Amino acid sequence: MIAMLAVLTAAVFSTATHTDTTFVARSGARLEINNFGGDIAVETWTRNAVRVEADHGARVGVVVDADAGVVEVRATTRLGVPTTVDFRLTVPRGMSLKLTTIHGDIDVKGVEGDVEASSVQGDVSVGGPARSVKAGSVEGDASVSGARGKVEVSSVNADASAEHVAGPISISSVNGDVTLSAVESDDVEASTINGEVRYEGAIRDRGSYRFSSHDGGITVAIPDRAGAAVSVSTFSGGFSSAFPIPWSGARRSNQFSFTLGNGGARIELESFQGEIRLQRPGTGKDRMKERDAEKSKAKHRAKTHDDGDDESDEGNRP
Amino acid sequence: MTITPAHDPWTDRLSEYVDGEMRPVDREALEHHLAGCPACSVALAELRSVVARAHALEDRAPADDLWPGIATAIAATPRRAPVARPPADWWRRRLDLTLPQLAAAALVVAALSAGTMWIALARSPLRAPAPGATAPVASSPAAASQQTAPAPASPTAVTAATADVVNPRYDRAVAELEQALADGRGRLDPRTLQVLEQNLRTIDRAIGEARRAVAADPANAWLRSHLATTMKRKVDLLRTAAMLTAGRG
Repeated sequence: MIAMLAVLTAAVFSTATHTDTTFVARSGARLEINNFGGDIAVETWTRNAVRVEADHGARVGVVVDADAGVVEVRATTRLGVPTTVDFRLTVPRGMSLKLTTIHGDIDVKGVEGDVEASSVQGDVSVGGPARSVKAGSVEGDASVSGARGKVEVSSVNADASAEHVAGPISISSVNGDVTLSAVESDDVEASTINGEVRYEGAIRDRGSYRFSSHDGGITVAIPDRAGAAVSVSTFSGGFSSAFPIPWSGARRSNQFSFTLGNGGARIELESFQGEIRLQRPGTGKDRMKERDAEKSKAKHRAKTHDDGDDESDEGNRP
Repeated sequence: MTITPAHDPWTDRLSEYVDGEMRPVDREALEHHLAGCPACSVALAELRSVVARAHALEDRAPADDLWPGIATAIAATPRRAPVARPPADWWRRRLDLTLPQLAAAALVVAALSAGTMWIALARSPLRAPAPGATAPVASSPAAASQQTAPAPASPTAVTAATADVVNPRYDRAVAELEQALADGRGRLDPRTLQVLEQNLRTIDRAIGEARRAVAADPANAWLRSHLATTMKRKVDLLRTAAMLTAGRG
């Protein structure tokens, strides 16, 4: 019976408000969830099977559709009205995922495959040794940690962050901060329009590190022995460094370059009207933590306020 | 503005510069050259824009984008479109193009309208261009119209200084995307719509500030690049907004 579910479409309609089903996953299959409302949480186990737990309204069904290497899990109602379902999945570690939701958070832990996760109004968090990650949100935070391969992180109206990542990174926001920490990549591009950019991590020989903001500052921690050709560009911002800069040659007041060590890496620091700061690793962490804690509290308050304003019996948002 | 295959030796090395493969001494010399060469500055800005666009587009077919996936979630009849399978190392692929190729590639990118650009580019690689193609740097009168702070130069001066970065095709693409958002705004959650519009205003303000800075210092390569990059951010956000609205239609 379990094996059949892997190859046939299975619709699980029930009058209960909780679904719990487990089915065998074909090796190499990708799991997709396109959710309208509700959270999606994913964890891993060593079994070659997928467990789907879902909390939903009484008239909601959960459909598992396995076809051509893709396992699709979705919520459905008899009238086709978009509905809210909170999914909790347990998947094989190597499985790849493609998860989307409109009103809800996405939280992925421990997956080693490729992960795509996007939300419109919620936070997106992907942690673990994923082969590649594409995480994005319009209104919520987007964060990635521990990924081994290529990472793309984006938010429109909130913060984007990545930590303990090693592959090429592209991370951006429009109206939010961009934070990278414990990075071991040689290819980093971080940008925002109205926010701060912060980087702490390796500066590798022949690596490329580009940081830009329009309104906000840029803070980069340069390890003691890092070698890099550094270019600094600003229109009306400033520049400061916590360590001596080996100036050479002529420089304009707001656009200049210099070489640290062997000049092996390339670092571009660009802020139209923010402060560009160089510092040593470890400095400023307390200030960053304080700031992050403040933002987290503010966000929690806002979310609590929203939830209080948004109570409905079934949680549906047609 | 028309860029013809230049004899400036630096133009042939801009691709190398963008790819970070230039020796530090050459890089420094090129950057010094860029400060006094508007043509190379424009070409560099276009090159970065084209490379960024190409990288952003080569990895996905339209249906493989995150946002159509979201759209599918709420569509009446779920559909599954074929998924493009890019090479594993697609993001490291170096675009080794000559200036004319880049110029024409920029034109191709700019010319594609909001309704066709992703489909067209996802289905075919950047084509070899005809020499001497036009390669304008994009700009947006719409963005300029939303400037809130007084410009440092007169309107005439701004127009003259930025005439070479105006691109009607870009403006048309932006206008189409803005229209798509306007048409579909009723299908978006009001809060999401408000967020999108606030962020578009944020980008428009940044574009306005960058345009005024370019007007005050037209030869500044970095300012031009910053302007082009910021304008691309607007297109990216409009594209996201349009996809959200279209998906719910």
